[in-house]
Amino acid sequence: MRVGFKNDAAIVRAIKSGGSQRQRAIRFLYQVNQETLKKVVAYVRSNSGNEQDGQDMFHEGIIVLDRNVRAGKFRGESSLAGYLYSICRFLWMNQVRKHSRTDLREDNSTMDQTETENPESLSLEEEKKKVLANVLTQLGDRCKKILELWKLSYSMQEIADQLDFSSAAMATKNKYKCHKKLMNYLKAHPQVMNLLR
Amino acid sequence: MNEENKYQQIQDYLEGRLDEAAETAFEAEMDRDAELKTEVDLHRLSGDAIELIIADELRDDLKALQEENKQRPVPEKKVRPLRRRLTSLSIAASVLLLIGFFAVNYTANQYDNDAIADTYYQNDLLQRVRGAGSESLLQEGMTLYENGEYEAAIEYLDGVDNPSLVAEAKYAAAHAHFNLGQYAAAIDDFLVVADSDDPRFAEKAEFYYLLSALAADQTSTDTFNTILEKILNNEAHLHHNDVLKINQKLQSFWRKF
Repeated sequence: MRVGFKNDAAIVRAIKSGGSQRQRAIRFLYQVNQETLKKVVAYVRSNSGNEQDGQDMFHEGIIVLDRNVRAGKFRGESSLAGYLYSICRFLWMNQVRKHSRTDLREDNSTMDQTETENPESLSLEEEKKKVLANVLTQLGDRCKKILELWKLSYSMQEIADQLDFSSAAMATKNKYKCHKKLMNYLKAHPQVMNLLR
Repeated sequence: MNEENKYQQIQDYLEGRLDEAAETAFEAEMDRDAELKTEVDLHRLSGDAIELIIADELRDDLKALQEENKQRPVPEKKVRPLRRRLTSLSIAASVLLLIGFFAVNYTANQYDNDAIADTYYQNDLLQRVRGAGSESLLQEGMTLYENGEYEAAIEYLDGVDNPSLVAEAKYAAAHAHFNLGQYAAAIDDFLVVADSDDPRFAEKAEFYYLLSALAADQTSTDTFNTILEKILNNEAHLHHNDVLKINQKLQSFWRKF
């Protein structure tokens, strides 16, 4: 059953609070923005892309929106739907420019310039994805999960419950070890650090 | 300071948990100690790496949602034998004759201007941060609007004169007028916003102008037809799909009937 949210502020609160609230909010956002999805697909198709590119951009847009909301970068000056659409258009414009596929019709007039970041900072590039794969292999599934939950504002007790640690203190200890493991990996691989910069 | 304490202090700094004095002291220490600065940088970058993990997980979740949506069952149409269909059709025709008058009456009502406007209108609430001057008027107006006190909201919103906030205030006032059934005033305000070229509101204002004009039975004007055509011809418009459906209703046989 779809769990509703009263308004954008409630969705933002849920995403920021992390955990299952965030998951529900993102699921809700995905379902109520099917019209935005169609618009993104239409935009991408009218600018050298295809249906699949449009779908992918919509997903990348939600990923960026989630990150920006958690980082406090979304200030609520526009609706979440409008913000999402602006991000998707920005991401696609950026991608097309990078691949120099064709002349993209400039569409700055309808962009939410007050809240959308520099496109360079929005895109998750292929290289970063490869880096991610390496990092994940090094960390192992359990460490990866601990760090992910920690970053998503789960409490140490919630992490302990989810990953079967005997206590919150044990979860804290393991989080520390995993974080150090990740940082040691980065320290030993300056080329990876440069990609993340 | 042992390693764990140092680790915790860096995290506290990055997550904004230090008070002002401690933060200043920490930054001064970073300026003196290159090793500490490198360590802080490493913490930052590790945060970015974890964000990549989160993005990757979310990407998988979204793909699963997409599949879930695709797999939602579409109701199948049953194929029935011709004789049974003819019998059913005869019965249906008789019943239709009896209820025809009422059905025509009802159906025609679904295609009138009021019904179309009602179907597509939704309160489009906005959230804002509190501020001073015009911003405070706007905030008060928005709060009243959210509470359904539309007349009071309009008084505040009409007082906003800061050029950077006027489009937002007019947009909210237009919705308030619409909710009060003051469609002529809603039309005026939505048109001001549509002409403002404010990227946050202009496309929405065009759509809501159409709904207001429908509710006011002002669908024969040049403005109505120009904006209708504009949205129909722009696939990337926020409300292109809604307006396509509305246009189908406007062109429908039942409406003309």
